[in-house]
Amino acid sequence: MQQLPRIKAAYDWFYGQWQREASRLAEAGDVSALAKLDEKRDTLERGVFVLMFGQFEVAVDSIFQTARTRRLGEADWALRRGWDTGSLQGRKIPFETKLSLVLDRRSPTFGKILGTYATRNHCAHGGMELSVGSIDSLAAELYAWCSELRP
Amino acid sequence: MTTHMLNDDDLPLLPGSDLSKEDVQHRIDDWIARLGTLFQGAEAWADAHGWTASHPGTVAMNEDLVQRHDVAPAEQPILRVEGPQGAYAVFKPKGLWVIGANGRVDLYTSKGVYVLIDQADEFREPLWRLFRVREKPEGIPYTPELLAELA
Repeated sequence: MQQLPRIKAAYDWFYGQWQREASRLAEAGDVSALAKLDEKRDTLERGVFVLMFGQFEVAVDSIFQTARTRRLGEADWALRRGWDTGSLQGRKIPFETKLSLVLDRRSPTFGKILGTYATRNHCAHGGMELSVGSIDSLAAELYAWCSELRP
Repeated sequence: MTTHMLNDDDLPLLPGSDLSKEDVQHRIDDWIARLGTLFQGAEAWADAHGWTASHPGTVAMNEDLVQRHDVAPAEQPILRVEGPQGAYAVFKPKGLWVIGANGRVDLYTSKGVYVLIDQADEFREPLWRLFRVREKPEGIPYTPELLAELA
Protein backbone atom coordinates (compact mmCIF):
# COMPACT_ATOMS: atom_id res chain seq x y z
CA MET A 1 0.00 0.00 0.00
CA GLN A 2 3.10 2.11 -0.32
CA GLN A 3 1.82 4.37 -3.08
CA LEU A 4 -1.72 4.77 -1.72
CA PRO A 5 -0.94 7.99 0.18
CA ARG A 6 0.54 9.46 -2.99
CA ILE A 7 -2.47 8.47 -5.11
CA LYS A 8 -4.80 9.83 -2.46
CA ALA A 9 -2.86 13.11 -2.19
CA ALA A 10 -3.09 13.58 -5.96
CA TYR A 11 -6.82 12.94 -5.83
CA ASP A 12 -7.25 15.35 -2.90
CA TRP A 13 -5.55 18.10 -4.90
CA PHE A 14 -7.85 17.53 -7.90
CA TYR A 15 -10.89 17.40 -5.63
CA GLY A 16 -9.94 20.81 -4.25
CA GLN A 17 -9.84 22.27 -7.78
CA TRP A 18 -13.09 20.56 -8.72
CA GLN A 19 -14.77 21.73 -5.52
CA ARG A 20 -13.94 25.40 -6.22
CA GLU A 21 -15.49 25.21 -9.67
CA ALA A 22 -18.46 23.13 -8.49
CA SER A 23 -19.22 25.59 -5.68
CA ARG A 24 -19.14 28.48 -8.13
CA LEU A 25 -21.53 26.72 -10.50
CA ALA A 26 -23.82 25.57 -7.67
CA GLU A 27 -24.07 29.13 -6.36
CA ALA A 28 -24.88 30.39 -9.85
CA GLY A 29 -27.49 27.65 -10.25
CA ASP A 30 -25.86 26.40 -13.48
CA VAL A 31 -27.21 22.86 -13.33
CA SER A 32 -26.12 21.86 -16.81
CA ALA A 33 -22.49 22.97 -16.32
CA LEU A 34 -22.48 21.26 -12.94
CA ALA A 35 -23.60 18.00 -14.55
CA LYS A 36 -20.73 18.21 -17.09
CA LEU A 37 -18.25 18.88 -14.29
CA ASP A 38 -19.66 15.93 -12.41
CA GLU A 39 -18.94 13.66 -15.37
CA LYS A 40 -15.29 14.70 -15.26
CA ARG A 41 -15.14 13.87 -11.57
CA ASP A 42 -16.78 10.48 -12.18
CA THR A 43 -14.19 9.59 -14.80
CA LEU A 44 -11.30 10.63 -12.60
CA GLU A 45 -12.65 8.76 -9.58
CA ARG A 46 -13.07 5.53 -11.54
CA GLY A 47 -9.40 5.75 -12.49
CA VAL A 48 -8.32 6.54 -8.94
CA PHE A 49 -10.39 3.60 -7.66
CA VAL A 50 -8.55 1.22 -10.00
CA LEU A 51 -5.17 2.63 -8.96
CA MET A 52 -6.04 2.41 -5.27
CA PHE A 53 -7.25 -1.17 -5.54
CA GLY A 54 -4.04 -1.95 -7.41
CA GLN A 55 -2.13 -1.01 -4.27
CA PHE A 56 -4.23 -3.47 -2.30
CA GLU A 57 -3.45 -6.15 -4.89
CA VAL A 58 0.25 -5.47 -4.39
CA ALA A 59 -0.22 -5.88 -0.64
CA VAL A 60 -2.06 -9.19 -1.10
CA ASP A 61 0.68 -10.45 -3.38
CA SER A 62 3.42 -9.41 -0.98
CA ILE A 63 1.80 -11.10 2.02
CA PHE A 64 1.03 -14.19 -0.05
CA GLN A 65 4.68 -14.44 -1.10
CA THR A 66 5.78 -14.15 2.51
CA ALA A 67 3.32 -16.89 3.48
CA ARG A 68 4.51 -19.10 0.65
CA THR A 69 8.22 -18.61 1.31
CA ARG A 70 7.74 -19.30 5.00
CA ARG A 71 5.92 -22.57 4.40
CA LEU A 72 8.11 -23.79 1.56
CA GLY A 73 10.99 -23.64 4.01
CA GLU A 74 9.24 -26.00 6.43
CA ALA A 75 10.85 -29.40 6.75
CA ASP A 76 7.64 -30.78 8.26
CA TRP A 77 5.38 -31.79 5.37
CA ALA A 78 2.27 -31.23 7.48
CA LEU A 79 3.13 -27.51 7.47
CA ARG A 80 4.45 -27.45 3.89
CA ARG A 81 1.51 -29.44 2.52
CA GLY A 82 -0.09 -27.92 -0.56
CA TRP A 83 2.16 -24.85 -0.64
CA ASP A 84 4.71 -26.52 -2.92
CA THR A 85 2.12 -27.39 -5.57
CA GLY A 86 2.91 -26.09 -9.04
CA SER A 87 -0.16 -23.85 -9.23
CA LEU A 88 1.16 -21.73 -6.34
CA GLN A 89 4.53 -21.10 -7.92
CA GLY A 90 5.34 -18.57 -10.59
CA ARG A 91 3.61 -15.26 -11.17
CA LYS A 92 0.28 -16.13 -12.81
CA ILE A 93 -1.66 -16.99 -9.69
CA PRO A 94 -5.25 -15.70 -9.66
CA PHE A 95 -5.97 -12.92 -7.20
CA GLU A 96 -8.70 -14.94 -5.49
CA THR A 97 -6.30 -17.83 -4.91
CA LYS A 98 -3.72 -15.57 -3.29
CA LEU A 99 -6.38 -13.85 -1.22
CA SER A 100 -7.79 -17.14 0.05
CA LEU A 101 -4.35 -18.06 1.38
CA VAL A 102 -3.89 -14.87 3.39
CA LEU A 103 -7.48 -14.24 4.51
CA ASP A 104 -10.13 -16.63 5.81
CA ARG A 105 -12.67 -17.27 3.06
CA ARG A 106 -15.37 -17.43 5.71
CA SER A 107 -14.75 -13.90 6.92
CA PRO A 108 -17.35 -11.29 5.81
CA THR A 109 -14.46 -9.25 4.44
CA PHE A 110 -13.53 -11.95 1.91
CA GLY A 111 -16.78 -11.61 -0.05
CA LYS A 112 -16.63 -7.81 0.06
CA ILE A 113 -13.11 -7.80 -1.33
CA LEU A 114 -14.07 -10.10 -4.20
CA GLY A 115 -17.09 -7.93 -4.98
CA THR A 116 -14.86 -4.88 -5.13
CA TYR A 117 -12.32 -6.78 -7.22
CA ALA A 118 -15.05 -7.62 -9.73
CA THR A 119 -16.00 -3.94 -9.91
CA ARG A 120 -12.34 -3.03 -10.33
CA ASN A 121 -12.08 -5.46 -13.24
CA HIS A 122 -15.22 -4.04 -14.79
CA CYS A 123 -13.80 -0.51 -14.66
CA ALA A 124 -10.31 -1.54 -15.75
CA HIS A 125 -11.73 -3.37 -18.78
CA GLY A 126 -13.74 -0.46 -20.09
CA GLY A 127 -16.75 -0.20 -17.78
CA MET A 128 -17.77 3.45 -17.52
CA GLU A 129 -21.19 3.13 -15.95
CA LEU A 130 -20.49 3.26 -12.24
CA SER A 131 -19.68 6.25 -10.07
CA VAL A 132 -17.61 5.94 -6.93
CA GLY A 133 -19.37 6.39 -3.58
CA SER A 134 -16.49 8.01 -1.75
CA ILE A 135 -12.78 7.76 -2.53
CA ASP A 136 -12.05 8.50 1.15
CA SER A 137 -14.33 5.66 2.28
CA LEU A 138 -12.72 3.28 -0.19
CA ALA A 139 -9.25 4.21 0.99
CA ALA A 140 -10.23 3.58 4.62
CA GLU A 141 -11.70 0.22 3.63
CA LEU A 142 -8.57 -0.82 1.77
CA TYR A 143 -6.40 -0.04 4.79
CA ALA A 144 -8.79 -1.97 7.05
CA TRP A 145 -8.80 -4.98 4.71
CA CYS A 146 -5.02 -4.88 4.50
CA SER A 147 -4.79 -5.09 8.29
CA GLU A 148 -6.71 -8.39 8.19
CA LEU A 149 -4.30 -10.15 5.84
CA ARG A 150 -2.08 -12.78 7.46
CA PRO A 151 1.15 -14.30 6.08
CA MET B 1 -19.80 -15.00 -1.45
CA THR B 2 -18.83 -16.21 -4.96
CA THR B 3 -19.99 -19.57 -6.20
CA HIS B 4 -17.01 -20.07 -8.48
CA MET B 5 -13.39 -19.09 -8.45
CA LEU B 6 -12.97 -15.68 -10.01
CA ASN B 7 -10.58 -15.86 -12.91
CA ASP B 8 -8.72 -12.71 -13.81
CA ASP B 9 -9.76 -13.33 -17.41
CA ASP B 10 -13.45 -13.60 -16.53
CA LEU B 11 -15.60 -11.29 -18.57
CA PRO B 12 -16.10 -8.37 -16.22
CA LEU B 13 -19.87 -8.09 -15.99
CA LEU B 14 -21.42 -4.94 -14.67
CA PRO B 15 -21.91 -5.60 -10.94
CA GLY B 16 -25.60 -6.23 -10.27
CA SER B 17 -26.18 -7.75 -13.72
CA ASP B 18 -27.70 -10.81 -12.06
CA LEU B 19 -30.56 -8.77 -10.63
CA SER B 20 -34.08 -9.28 -12.01
CA LYS B 21 -36.27 -6.39 -13.11
CA GLU B 22 -38.24 -6.80 -9.88
CA ASP B 23 -35.01 -6.69 -7.82
CA VAL B 24 -33.99 -3.46 -9.53
CA GLN B 25 -37.40 -1.90 -8.88
CA HIS B 26 -37.28 -3.00 -5.25
CA ARG B 27 -33.85 -1.40 -4.78
CA ILE B 28 -35.03 1.80 -6.46
CA ASP B 29 -38.14 2.00 -4.27
CA ASP B 30 -35.98 1.50 -1.19
CA TRP B 31 -33.54 4.21 -2.33
CA ILE B 32 -36.28 6.75 -2.94
CA ALA B 33 -37.74 5.95 0.50
CA ARG B 34 -34.33 6.39 2.15
CA LEU B 35 -33.89 9.74 0.42
CA GLY B 36 -37.30 10.77 1.69
CA THR B 37 -36.38 9.92 5.27
CA LEU B 38 -32.98 11.65 4.95
CA PHE B 39 -34.61 14.80 3.63
CA GLN B 40 -37.34 14.77 6.25
CA GLY B 41 -34.64 14.91 8.92
CA ALA B 42 -32.96 17.89 7.28
CA GLU B 43 -36.29 19.66 6.76
CA ALA B 44 -37.30 19.11 10.37
CA TRP B 45 -33.98 20.61 11.52
CA ALA B 46 -34.42 23.56 9.14
CA ASP B 47 -37.94 24.19 10.40
CA ALA B 48 -36.81 24.05 14.04
CA HIS B 49 -34.04 26.62 13.39
CA GLY B 50 -35.92 29.13 11.27
CA TRP B 51 -34.41 28.00 7.98
CA THR B 52 -36.47 27.43 4.86
CA ALA B 53 -36.66 24.24 2.83
CA SER B 54 -37.63 23.77 -0.80
CA HIS B 55 -37.54 21.13 -3.50
CA PRO B 56 -36.05 22.82 -6.56
CA GLY B 57 -36.39 19.84 -8.82
CA THR B 58 -35.45 16.22 -9.36
CA VAL B 59 -32.64 14.15 -10.82
CA ALA B 60 -33.63 11.28 -13.09
CA MET B 61 -32.35 7.92 -12.00
CA ASN B 62 -30.98 6.66 -15.23
CA GLU B 63 -28.15 4.34 -14.27
CA ASP B 64 -27.15 1.58 -16.63
CA LEU B 65 -28.88 -1.13 -14.56
CA VAL B 66 -32.15 0.80 -14.76
CA GLN B 67 -31.91 1.07 -18.54
CA ARG B 68 -30.85 -2.55 -19.04
CA HIS B 69 -33.85 -3.84 -17.15
CA ASP B 70 -36.21 -1.44 -18.89
CA VAL B 71 -37.34 0.01 -15.57
CA ALA B 72 -38.97 3.43 -15.71
CA PRO B 73 -36.36 5.94 -14.47
CA ALA B 74 -37.41 7.18 -11.05
CA GLU B 75 -37.07 10.82 -10.13
CA GLN B 76 -34.79 11.47 -7.19
CA PRO B 77 -35.84 14.54 -5.19
CA ILE B 78 -33.45 17.43 -4.56
CA LEU B 79 -33.64 19.33 -1.28
CA ARG B 80 -32.45 22.89 -0.67
CA VAL B 81 -32.35 24.47 2.77
CA GLU B 82 -31.53 28.15 3.27
CA GLY B 83 -30.51 29.96 6.40
CA PRO B 84 -29.38 33.41 7.47
CA GLN B 85 -26.65 35.42 5.74
CA GLY B 86 -26.71 33.42 2.53
CA ALA B 87 -26.21 30.03 4.12
CA TYR B 88 -27.55 27.22 1.97
CA ALA B 89 -27.25 23.46 1.49
CA VAL B 90 -28.41 21.49 -1.52
CA PHE B 91 -28.81 17.72 -1.23
CA LYS B 92 -28.45 16.35 -4.77
CA PRO B 93 -28.67 12.56 -5.10
CA LYS B 94 -25.85 11.13 -7.19
CA GLY B 95 -27.30 7.65 -7.47
CA LEU B 96 -27.92 4.30 -5.86
CA TRP B 97 -25.47 2.03 -7.64
CA VAL B 98 -22.17 3.57 -6.69
CA ILE B 99 -18.90 1.79 -5.92
CA GLY B 100 -18.45 1.01 -2.23
CA ALA B 101 -21.76 2.32 -0.89
CA ASN B 102 -25.51 1.82 -0.96
CA GLY B 103 -26.21 5.19 -2.53
CA ARG B 104 -24.62 8.62 -2.59
CA VAL B 105 -25.90 12.18 -2.16
CA ASP B 106 -23.72 15.18 -3.00
CA LEU B 107 -24.12 18.01 -0.50
CA TYR B 108 -23.41 21.44 -2.00
CA THR B 109 -23.21 24.27 0.51
CA SER B 110 -22.00 27.84 0.72
CA LYS B 111 -18.81 26.46 2.31
CA GLY B 112 -17.97 23.46 0.17
CA VAL B 113 -19.05 20.25 -1.50
CA TYR B 114 -19.36 17.14 0.65
CA VAL B 115 -20.01 13.48 -0.04
CA LEU B 116 -22.78 11.69 1.83
CA ILE B 117 -22.96 7.91 1.43
CA ASP B 118 -25.06 5.18 3.00
CA GLN B 119 -22.65 2.55 4.34
CA ALA B 120 -25.33 0.11 5.48
CA ASP B 121 -26.00 -3.13 3.63
CA GLU B 122 -28.97 -3.36 1.28
CA PHE B 123 -32.38 -2.99 2.91
CA ARG B 124 -30.82 -2.29 6.34
CA GLU B 125 -31.28 0.80 8.50
CA PRO B 126 -29.23 3.52 6.73
CA LEU B 127 -25.80 4.52 8.03
CA TRP B 128 -25.22 7.91 6.48
CA ARG B 129 -21.62 9.04 6.67
CA LEU B 130 -20.23 12.38 5.52
CA PHE B 131 -16.86 12.76 3.82
CA ARG B 132 -14.62 15.67 2.81
CA VAL B 133 -15.37 17.38 6.12
CA ARG B 134 -13.27 18.55 9.10
CA GLU B 135 -10.14 17.08 7.47
CA LYS B 136 -11.23 13.64 8.65
CA PRO B 137 -10.45 11.20 5.82
CA GLU B 138 -12.46 8.52 7.60
CA GLY B 139 -15.56 10.73 7.48
CA ILE B 140 -18.07 11.43 10.24
CA PRO B 141 -21.59 10.16 10.98
CA TYR B 142 -24.10 12.50 9.36
CA THR B 143 -26.76 14.25 11.40
CA PRO B 144 -28.92 17.20 10.28
CA GLU B 145 -27.34 19.30 13.07
CA LEU B 146 -24.17 19.42 10.97
CA LEU B 147 -25.94 21.79 8.57
CA ALA B 148 -25.32 24.67 10.96
CA GLU B 149 -21.58 24.10 10.55
CA LEU B 150 -21.47 23.12 6.88
CA ALA B 151 -23.87 25.58 5.25
